[in-house]
Amino acid sequence: MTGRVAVNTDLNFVQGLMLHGAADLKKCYQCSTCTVACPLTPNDQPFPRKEMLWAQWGMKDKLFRDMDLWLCHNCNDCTDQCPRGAKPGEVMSALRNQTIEHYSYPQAISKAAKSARGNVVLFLIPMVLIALAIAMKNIESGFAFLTAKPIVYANMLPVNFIDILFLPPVLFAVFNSYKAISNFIGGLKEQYPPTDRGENLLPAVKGTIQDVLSHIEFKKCGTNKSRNISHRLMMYGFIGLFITTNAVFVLHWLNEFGFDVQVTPLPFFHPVKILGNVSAFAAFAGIYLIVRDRVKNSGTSILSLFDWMFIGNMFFTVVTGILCQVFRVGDHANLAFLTYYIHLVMVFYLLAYAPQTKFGHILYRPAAMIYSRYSGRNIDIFRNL
Amino acid sequence: MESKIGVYICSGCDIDQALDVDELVKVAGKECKAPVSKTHPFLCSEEGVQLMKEDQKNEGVNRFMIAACSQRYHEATFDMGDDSLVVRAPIREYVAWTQKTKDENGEFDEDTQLAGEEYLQMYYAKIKKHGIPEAFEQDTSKNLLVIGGGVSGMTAAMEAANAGYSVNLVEKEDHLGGFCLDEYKLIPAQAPFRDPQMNSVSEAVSAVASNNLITVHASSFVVSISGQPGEFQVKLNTDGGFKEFKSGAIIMATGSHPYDAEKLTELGIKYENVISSAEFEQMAKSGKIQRKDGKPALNIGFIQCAGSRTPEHLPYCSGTCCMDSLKQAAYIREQNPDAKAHIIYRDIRTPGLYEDFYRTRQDDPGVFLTQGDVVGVNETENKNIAIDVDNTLFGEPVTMEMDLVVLAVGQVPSTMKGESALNLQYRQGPDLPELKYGYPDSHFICFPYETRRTGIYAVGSVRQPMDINDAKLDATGAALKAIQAIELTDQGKTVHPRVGDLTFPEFALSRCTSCKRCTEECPFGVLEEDDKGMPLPNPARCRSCGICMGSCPVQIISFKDSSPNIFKEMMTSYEMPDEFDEKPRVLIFVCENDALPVFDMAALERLKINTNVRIMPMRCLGGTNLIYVTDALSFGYDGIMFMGCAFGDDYQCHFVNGSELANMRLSKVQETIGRLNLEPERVRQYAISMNDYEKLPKIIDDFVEELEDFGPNPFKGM
Amino acid sequence: MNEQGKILVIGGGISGITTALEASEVGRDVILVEKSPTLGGRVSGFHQYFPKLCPPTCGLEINYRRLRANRHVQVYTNSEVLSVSGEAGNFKIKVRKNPTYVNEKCVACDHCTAVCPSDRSNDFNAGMDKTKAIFLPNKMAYPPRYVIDRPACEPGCSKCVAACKYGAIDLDMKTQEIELEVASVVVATGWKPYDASKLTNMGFSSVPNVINNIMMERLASVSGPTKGKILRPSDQKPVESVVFVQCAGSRDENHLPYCSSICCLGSLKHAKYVLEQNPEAKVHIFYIDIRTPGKYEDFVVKVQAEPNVNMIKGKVAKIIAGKEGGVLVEAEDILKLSKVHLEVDMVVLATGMEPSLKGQAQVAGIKLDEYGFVPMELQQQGIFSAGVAKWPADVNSSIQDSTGAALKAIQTTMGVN
Repeated sequence: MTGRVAVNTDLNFVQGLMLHGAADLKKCYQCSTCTVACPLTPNDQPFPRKEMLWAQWGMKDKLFRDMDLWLCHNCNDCTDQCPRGAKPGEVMSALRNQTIEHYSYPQAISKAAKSARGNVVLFLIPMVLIALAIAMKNIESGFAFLTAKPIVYANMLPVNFIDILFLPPVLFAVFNSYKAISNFIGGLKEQYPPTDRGENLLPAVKGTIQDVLSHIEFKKCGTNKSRNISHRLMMYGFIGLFITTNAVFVLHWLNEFGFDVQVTPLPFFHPVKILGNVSAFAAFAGIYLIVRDRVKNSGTSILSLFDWMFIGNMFFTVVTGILCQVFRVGDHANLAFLTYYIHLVMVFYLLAYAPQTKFGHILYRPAAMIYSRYSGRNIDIFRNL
Repeated sequence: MESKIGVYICSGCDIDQALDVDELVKVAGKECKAPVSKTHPFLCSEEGVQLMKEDQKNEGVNRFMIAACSQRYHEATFDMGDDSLVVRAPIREYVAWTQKTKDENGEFDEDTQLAGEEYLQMYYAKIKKHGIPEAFEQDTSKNLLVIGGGVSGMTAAMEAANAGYSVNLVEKEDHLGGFCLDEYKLIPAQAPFRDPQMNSVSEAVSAVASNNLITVHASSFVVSISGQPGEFQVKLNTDGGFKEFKSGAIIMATGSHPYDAEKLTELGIKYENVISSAEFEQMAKSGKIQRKDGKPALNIGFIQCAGSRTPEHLPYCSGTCCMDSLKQAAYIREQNPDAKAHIIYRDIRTPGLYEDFYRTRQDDPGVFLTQGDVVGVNETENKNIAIDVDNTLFGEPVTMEMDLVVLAVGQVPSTMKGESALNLQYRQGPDLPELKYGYPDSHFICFPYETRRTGIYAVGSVRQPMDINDAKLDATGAALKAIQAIELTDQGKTVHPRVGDLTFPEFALSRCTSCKRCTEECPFGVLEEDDKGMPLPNPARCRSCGICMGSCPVQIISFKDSSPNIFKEMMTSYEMPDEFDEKPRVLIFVCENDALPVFDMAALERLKINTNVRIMPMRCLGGTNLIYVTDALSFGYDGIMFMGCAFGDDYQCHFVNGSELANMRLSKVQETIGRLNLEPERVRQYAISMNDYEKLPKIIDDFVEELEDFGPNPFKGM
Repeated sequence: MNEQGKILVIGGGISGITTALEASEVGRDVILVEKSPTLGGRVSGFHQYFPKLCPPTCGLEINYRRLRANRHVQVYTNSEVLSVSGEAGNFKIKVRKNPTYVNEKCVACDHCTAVCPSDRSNDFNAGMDKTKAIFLPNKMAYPPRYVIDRPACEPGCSKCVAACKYGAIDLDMKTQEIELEVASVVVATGWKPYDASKLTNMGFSSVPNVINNIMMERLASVSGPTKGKILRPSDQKPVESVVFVQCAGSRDENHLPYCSSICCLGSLKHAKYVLEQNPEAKVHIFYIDIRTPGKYEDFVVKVQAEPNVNMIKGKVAKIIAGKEGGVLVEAEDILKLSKVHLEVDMVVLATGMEPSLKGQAQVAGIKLDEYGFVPMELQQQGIFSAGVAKWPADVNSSIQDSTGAALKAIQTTMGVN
């Protein structure tokens, strides 16, 4: 019995998948058109046909240890050509979500992120926390910040408060991420042990960063060609916003420690401000394009709540961020503070639950890509035809 | 009525560019001594036909020899009515279009002209000796015998009754319905082909039972059938008692049974939780899909092609098991939403619109499918079954543990049971001759209903592997063929492929030596023997292929339009050029079904055919008697070619083995020729199909060239 | 038995011919209407039948002989049924006889083509060669009569009229509409190959030397454009390696969702064609499931045993032009879990069957399903379908089905429900 893999079908897993983004999974009849259509797959043990089979059979252990799920960039060339309408692109996406859920810690969060009711709870946490903080700060002043001119968001919730409020969830997320990703990589290693064709870790990391920044994989896509632009805008936008946020953090604490630097609200032409605004608009444009494509393709592409929560969150984070500025400059105090409050809740959700929600792909995908280089799998990738 | 022959030579279609037609008219008059001989520039025109009609009216011409195009053209144009005989001498195809035409000085080619004249004399010899065909007479029963009361038999009976024919339906069990009656549900019969449908066989049973044209004989079997189409004498045993009646035609619908799963030891049939698909059907019908120990079966595995597509068991594919297992997977899912069906297939075979059934089953999350070869089936400690599978879609060998395993077994035709369903009192045996795997021989592809016993049609899963829907269609077609056999027999005519032919073998029994060759070689079992071992014809069984005529060593068998005598007259009708003329003569016996049209094709392409050959059409190459060869050689022909269908496993002969028999005879005659100090290579057989017209000229040229090396036939002019 | 009504058979392919003959040989009067100028349909273009590798012309020849000798069948070629109205036992049929410009006086002497100045693309050879504007549809044409492709003629040309000694050419021949009364109708309209240019990833119209299975039949046929030599179209080089792409359009919800049921056997047969001409040739057959039901299994076993036949589970999904007329093909060899890239001389797409009536002007009174087939259960009483008009089928089962349809039609003429 050596070398024979025991196959155990898991009906619940299959049904779960079908409920969460892979409704047409079972239609696949294993012709492997998808694998040929895929511009990103290696020649040896190519994807996504084998993933379709594992998924149909509910072979979750295989899937959770499958780096190929993450080498897929959701081009949907496969879905386009699939003769059975099984939508392998969607199935891969749903499988990534399942993988995130599988490795996530604590699991309760990712489970909650899949359901409407769970999301209410996930939102209530920051809503209550932030509301409490605002109340604590302003109860004495009788919420004077609402009427004070000009509108200063720090009046509602000073940066110190925000930092204190956000640092624990960020650390929580970092810890959870570490735990999830190290388990994930352990799984990858088991299924695809490193070969001597692999790169060393450092070049692998470097190469991956280059690949991510250049969006080289997205460029190979046929059907979802536009994602090269939209995803890139969004990614760069968020990187910009991430830098902005950190800059503000640094400026604030420099100021606190007595350095004379500009703090929020920053003037319009402050470099950090410019970076923030440009990034916000880039992210907005990216998300807009993505949502537009998804709505346009809604006939062929079914997204789960898990996906929509992620996109929606990103969208509202950016939109509320932009609106904060608009309302502040426009001097609509109530709207401005309400929007700011929502913005904070959104950011909290994004950061705190990152490893358990779809946002987690920014961890898993690079990890898999690095491992693909490290293990030598990426050598097989047929880059031309 | 006295016969009067008219020869009509057409000069159109460039015949006059190759042949001196006036000279031909003279030959017809002088050499043949035809009472009427004429030419016309456009014989198939109204005026041309009018010319002949007037001779028919005024001159009393009743035998028309038309020297023009081949019979494949203008058959209706030259229909001179039932009282006149028409023989076509295709000088357009055999001569004008395939041999040298006039040279630039307007001189006719000597050889071409000779060919025209010789063909004229050959066909004149034929029309002179041609007898008048007559229908046979008999007292035809228009009753149909259907053996087997399953879906095929019931459908055939019903369809025949709906066309107004009475039916005797014989079933060995005490009730109708057959194998499908006990099925839980059936595969879908019409669009949408998505879900199993309710079993409606019991309704069909009542419809048959209440049809007053159908007489059902339950608990019965056929003791004997004798006679011939139109007047089969049928003897039944019904519950120990005997019945006798007459039937016009017979449909054999004795069905199939599942392959014996007990033989599938390599698939673990000895384990208690491994069962056959037939057993599973009944389990599902009872509503208790469970293991031997009574526990519900949640993980169920189907092993497809269990015994099928396997040389040690059934080499063929039954064509039904994929649909059946998909159907049974639906049972599992419908009876327990937690139960799972796993189907291990070699190829999923759901052809045509059945693909929709496959698609629907696939959509079910609890149905799991993979290709694979099952290499091991083992029982685990807790009586589960571990299936080891290689060559899977997973790209690696796998094993899966099941609560219950179903072996999807194939179909075995009832003929394999070893008892005859027909009990024909035929010299050649009680059954339909089989081709392979117990399925009867037929002219597969073009004429699937043709069996080797005229008026007896096999139908349904005894004819070839098929499912219930195919069986119903098949039965309808077979009912038509049976009705057709009755109607044609009633008119005293032959059935397929020489439909409507009124010529049958005639036996000059006074010269019969009782060698029994004709009774043995007839592919259709037409001939019985009397107590002296002489042939007893049954014209209604006959397809008039002429194989018996070819088999007879003393040439006592003849047809009205072809006989040893006619062939001899034809080949000796003209003056054989002598050995100094350098005009060798080669006689080609050509099967008119397949090889003869090849000459027409070559003519359409204006390919040049060797001028020294003379074509002798045969009903079937099997009709060539050895005497033709020796006669031809002694008359001075330098060589003889046989052209007919390919034989062997994929035989193409419309009369089953005519070309093969010709070949066997040929090898014998070659020995004889050798003894006469002639080169055996002077006589040779070629398999020629319709596609070979481009090759034809070279085949003939090569043969003639080889003959030249041998020199002229020394018997020439003797 | 002729007091009963007549039977109309629509379509003169192997199914229609069979229905007409089988019914008429019981003594029924049959009217057979065929759209093209000759009977024979699809099978007349095939080189050989699977699994016996015998020529379809052989069976056709027998059938034509039966037809010629039969006084009960009236054949209308080059004619279309426009509508079927009325009810079982009493249908009114409108038929349009399209002009062929050549009448029954034609003797097929071929003098006309010698003077004809114009060419036309030869549809019988899948457009791979040309005929004159006046031509014999094929060598087995029934009736064996020339026809004129009028739009292909040079304007004002009447050279053929002068060349014909028999007065067979009538350039003023007009379209005629006739009405028939019949008791029952059998639809045997058959199929057409799916338009492979709709398979955008298969390169049919963009990559040289990618052909469909019908073209393969014509290449192998002695009456085809290459006289039966399998040469690749771009440079007439004998084919040394070939890829067969199964399910090209079939089993594909973007094209033909059903299985066409014959393409596997078709390609296995084509493999034999190639190997017969060149036993050293390399043949690769890419399939999803090999479907050779029943006794056809013997055929796949036989072909698989050929040393140069390579059967690969996996669908070809990418075909692009290679060097010097070669074709690059990509697929996954599923059982080996690895992609395959091949460069071959020629690629044959095993395109599926699309019902002939699909996408055609609707014949009033005949109802089609979503795929364009003519299922029995949708038709009014007295109208039947046979062969591939009903569903995808091979020749053998079409003939079976057509024989049964003949009985159904006869029952209707007798007033049986």
